[in-house]
Amino acid sequence: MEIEKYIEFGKINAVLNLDSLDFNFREEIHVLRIKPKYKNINVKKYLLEKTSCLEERMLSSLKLVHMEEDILEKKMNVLSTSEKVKVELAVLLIQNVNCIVFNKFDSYFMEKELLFFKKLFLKLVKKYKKTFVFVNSDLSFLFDFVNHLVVKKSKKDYLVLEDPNFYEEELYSIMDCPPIVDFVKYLNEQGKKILPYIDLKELLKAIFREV
Amino acid sequence: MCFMKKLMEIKNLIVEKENFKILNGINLIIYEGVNTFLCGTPSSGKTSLLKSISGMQKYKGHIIKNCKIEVLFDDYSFSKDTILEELDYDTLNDKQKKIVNKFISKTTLKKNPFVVEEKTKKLVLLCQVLLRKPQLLFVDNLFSDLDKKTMYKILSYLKVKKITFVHVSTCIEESLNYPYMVILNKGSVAVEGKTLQVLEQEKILKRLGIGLPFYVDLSIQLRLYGLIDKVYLSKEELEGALWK
Repeated sequence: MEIEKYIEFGKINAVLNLDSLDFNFREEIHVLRIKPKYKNINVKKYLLEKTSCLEERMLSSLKLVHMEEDILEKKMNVLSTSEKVKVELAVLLIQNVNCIVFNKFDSYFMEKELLFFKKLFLKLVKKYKKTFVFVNSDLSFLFDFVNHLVVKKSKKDYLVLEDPNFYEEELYSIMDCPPIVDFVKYLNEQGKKILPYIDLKELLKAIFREV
Repeated sequence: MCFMKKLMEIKNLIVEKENFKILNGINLIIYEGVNTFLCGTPSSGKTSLLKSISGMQKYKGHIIKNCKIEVLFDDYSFSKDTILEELDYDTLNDKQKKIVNKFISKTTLKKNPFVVEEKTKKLVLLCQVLLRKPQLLFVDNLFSDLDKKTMYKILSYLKVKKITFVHVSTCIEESLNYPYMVILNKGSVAVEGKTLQVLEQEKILKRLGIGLPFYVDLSIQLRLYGLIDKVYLSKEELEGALWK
């Protein structure tokens, strides 16, 4: 897989603009996948089948992914899509894998949960040198979070940005521009001096000072 | 809205699985021409609602369908070797071929649907449902792989063809493309109404863990500072209001 060589281990990676999501990565890179259908077994049995771990370990991993203890008795095929994602993530965390690839992670959750997971992934990278790869089509979710950005420009050409500057012009010849970047760029074009913020609160303060 | 045609009416929709209530008495009316953005908290029952409408799931309550309804899910179940075969392209009449060609190029049609990019896969699914001529179309997360240009092309096509559209998504930025908005929470409708009116209830949305589109969020906060007096939805309007 071409994209493998661009992954930086021990960091939060984002890969944008990929054509196909049929990944066949080498063994140590695990893609979080949810199945279209699950066996009619409860979460406890599913985790046991996948990881053979003790209940205590199950509970701590489920807690880590923001799930309550009572989920253990719920049947896998009754879970919502976002719950299935959390259970599959718990499986990978119990298995203690080092590198996890997520496809369109932000399409499963709303803002509050995304913020929770951002904090969790940052903690896991900092504390345990884990690697996360977010395959995405949208940049907004990645602000304040990603430290290695790979954007597919053409069949064999990739733009690689370390600790990315989200105001990099080249990025927006390939991708749609997130609203905050678009707005700040527009204000500067109109002669207002606003720094390249990616945080709404910072932008708000800057506007307050400027107006 | 009471003079508009009801395309679909859902009354007290309940879905239970394994003694667990997934939908807890949903009531919802979709009116002709009122495109709706539907989102919800995690496990709020969005997919179960779509499955009930499409007939894939048993439910209690009533779903009254007054028109041809299609539901497009975010998964692929292609079975043929080319997109041409997948869409039965050769058997289509000129009008139907025109629909397909609007979204998929002739060279792409010859490709295998399993190996094309995600964007094309979604467009194949979209064409499949459009060929069945729905009047009301429910779509689960269609635009997550599409660029804005393609998104607006689809929205404009649906408008021209007078297909009422309900989009289920977690991308709150997209809500501004729809005049009406419904938010589900724990298997019930938590808030519904005109999109901007719903989005301006930021305290309720915050409690539900749902963010706001950038311009709405920024406008609301600037309004708190007393810098503007209403919500602006475009950069030009907002800049104009701030530096008038």
